[in-house]
Amino acid sequence: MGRKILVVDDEPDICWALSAALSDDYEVTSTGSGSEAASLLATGEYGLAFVDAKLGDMDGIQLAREVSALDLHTTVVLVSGFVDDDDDAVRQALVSGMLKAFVSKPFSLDVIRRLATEALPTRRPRGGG
Amino acid sequence: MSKTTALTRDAALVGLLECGRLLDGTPGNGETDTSPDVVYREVIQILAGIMGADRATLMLLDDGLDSLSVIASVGVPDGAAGQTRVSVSEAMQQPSVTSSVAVPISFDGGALGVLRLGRLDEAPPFSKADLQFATVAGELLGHSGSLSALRRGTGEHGLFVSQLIESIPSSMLVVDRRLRVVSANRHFLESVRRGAEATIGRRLVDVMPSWLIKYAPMEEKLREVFRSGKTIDGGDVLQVSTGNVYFFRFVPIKAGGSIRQAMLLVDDVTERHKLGVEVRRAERHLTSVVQSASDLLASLDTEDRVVTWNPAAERVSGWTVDEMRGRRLWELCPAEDAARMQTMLHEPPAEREGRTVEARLVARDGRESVVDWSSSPITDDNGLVAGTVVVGRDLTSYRLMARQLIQSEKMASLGVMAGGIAHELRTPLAVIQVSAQLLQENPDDVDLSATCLQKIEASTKRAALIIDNLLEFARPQPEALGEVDVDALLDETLALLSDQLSLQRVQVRRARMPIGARVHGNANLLQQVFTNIVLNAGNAMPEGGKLTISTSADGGQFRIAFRDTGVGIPAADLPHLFDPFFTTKPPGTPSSGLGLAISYRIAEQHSGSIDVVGEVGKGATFTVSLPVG
Repeated sequence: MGRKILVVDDEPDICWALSAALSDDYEVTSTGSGSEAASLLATGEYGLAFVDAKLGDMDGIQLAREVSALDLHTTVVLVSGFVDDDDDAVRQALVSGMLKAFVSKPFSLDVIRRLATEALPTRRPRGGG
Repeated sequence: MSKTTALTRDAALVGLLECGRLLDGTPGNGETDTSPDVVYREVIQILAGIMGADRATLMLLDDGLDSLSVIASVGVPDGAAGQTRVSVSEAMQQPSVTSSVAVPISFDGGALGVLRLGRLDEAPPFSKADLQFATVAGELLGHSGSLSALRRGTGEHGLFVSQLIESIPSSMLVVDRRLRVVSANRHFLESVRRGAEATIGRRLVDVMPSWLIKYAPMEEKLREVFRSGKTIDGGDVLQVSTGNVYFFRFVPIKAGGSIRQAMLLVDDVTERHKLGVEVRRAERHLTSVVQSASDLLASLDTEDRVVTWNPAAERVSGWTVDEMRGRRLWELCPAEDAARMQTMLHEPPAEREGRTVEARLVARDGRESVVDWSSSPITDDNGLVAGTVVVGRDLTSYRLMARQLIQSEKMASLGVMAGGIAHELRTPLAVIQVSAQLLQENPDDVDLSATCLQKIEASTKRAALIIDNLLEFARPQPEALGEVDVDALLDETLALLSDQLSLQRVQVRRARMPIGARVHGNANLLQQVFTNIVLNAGNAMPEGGKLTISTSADGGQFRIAFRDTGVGIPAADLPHLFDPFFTTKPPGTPSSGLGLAISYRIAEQHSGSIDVVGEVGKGATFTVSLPVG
């Protein structure tokens, strides 16, 4: 299982925010494109992906499905300001395990960091070395 | 009116009888002036009295046949007999006369002159019977030879007068103190079907129809006339068998200070009676239509002064009819609307037809109502414009309703928009929250702090913009309208956007409008439309391109077309282009998705529209249409 985190959002500011929150402890990559995200995830280097529900070229859940089909054991967290966790598609994806969690915007960094810790338990020791 | 006329007619007949006697050579008081001028003045005075005319003029044709000399006139201020010479056309024009008859006076096939009688103001128009009588009078005037004789300086006026009495369309009977018939005119003899010999010298009761004697106590009334020396009104008597109505009057004839004879006048007023009933019914009907109309109804004189003012007008304006009478209607309009109103009132009738003018009306309490006015001229019997009737529809409540409708529609779309709004706002909020938290965690990291602060500021602005747009959409627009110079407004808008456009590598080509195009509207709102469309075009050309703006006018519409060379619009997206929060902008571009929705609303507010044509890969053309001026 990969150690890296991928942030997928067509809002550059959201990519920046998630990267800034996690880059101290993890290696974070971001992209605004769903198809690019799919090929990055296919490398198996990523253990966790924060995916926006609405991407320019793809639906966030669709991307989660593709990733799940690859059987890479990548944890996918859906992030959205539009849908909520009572959305049918989101609930089904959560139940099926395709999605690990749903985070609604705006979000606290604690939630994001907790999700990262859960997905990638063996943290790289802080401060390097 | 009928009674007044009858009264005047009685007095006139008495005068006529006396005049006849005078001209016949019957001894009078010996001091009467019998010169032709005086006699003719008296004659037309009598004629005017019989006809109920306010004005009467007897004019003789001059030798050249192109002008008329006034021989005698009554009721005409500057018409001194023998002194006024007028052209034939001038003689026929009397603006203040509301109804007139003019009959020729001819003798032996040659025209001698004209007898003209007129009624003023609110008097009813002359009837057919009046015209017939005037014609007879005109004929008699000619045939009596007295006018031709007048031209020769001599005349026999007595014959004329007695002939005139004969032709009066009323029954006339003169009785002595013993109530025996002294004379009777042709009309009476014909109506009772008796000869003169079977009438003159007989007792009144013997010559009058029996039903009349039964229902009208004539002898009693006549005795009273002899006793009192006063005219007695016998009133209307209904002949039950026929349904006819007769009007009676008993008039003393004074001669040398005593009353030797009395005159009995009988008029068949059946038609007038029926007409009166019908006229009253029609008047009541019309009055109730006018009174109960929900539209404002006013009639104006030729100077635009209010003559009538219905209850709806009173209600909307707060001014009663008594307060409005004599005021000019447009005095109630704000200055800029008053001019429009005046223009409408003085337009030629053909151009006014079917056209309405919107002008505000300031009520007594200062409240303004928007009223849609239409007007049409009132013409008199001669086709001359006597005034204007104005109908106004109060649009205030209609407008209010339309505004409420737009507003509720907006509120409904806001509900639909809620999801979009949430998404739009949540992104900058997320950035702000994360930035704030990072600032707290890393107070000493100067670079990170700077980035966070910049992100907070940019995100706050972005959220504010979303809210501004949202409020702009939801807020009822101020209705300050004016003349907008579209040309100048486009230039101004393009200047504002030039930085943005050059950044996007968009070249703007501007085709000048051939004429100074002006539309009636709100410049700020129209600028917003242009801005939205231009920015939209810029976003459709991420690799740069050309934006061509051309303008044209036809069919009362100005069209401003914005043609871009951008990505075009998929057919499936076309129906949603003006939906709130619909956006096709590339990911990451700040957009509220409200621009075109607001633009469309604004165009609609200006009674205009926005049309789009476009295909994927072939660019798009947005055309804004606005009604001229």
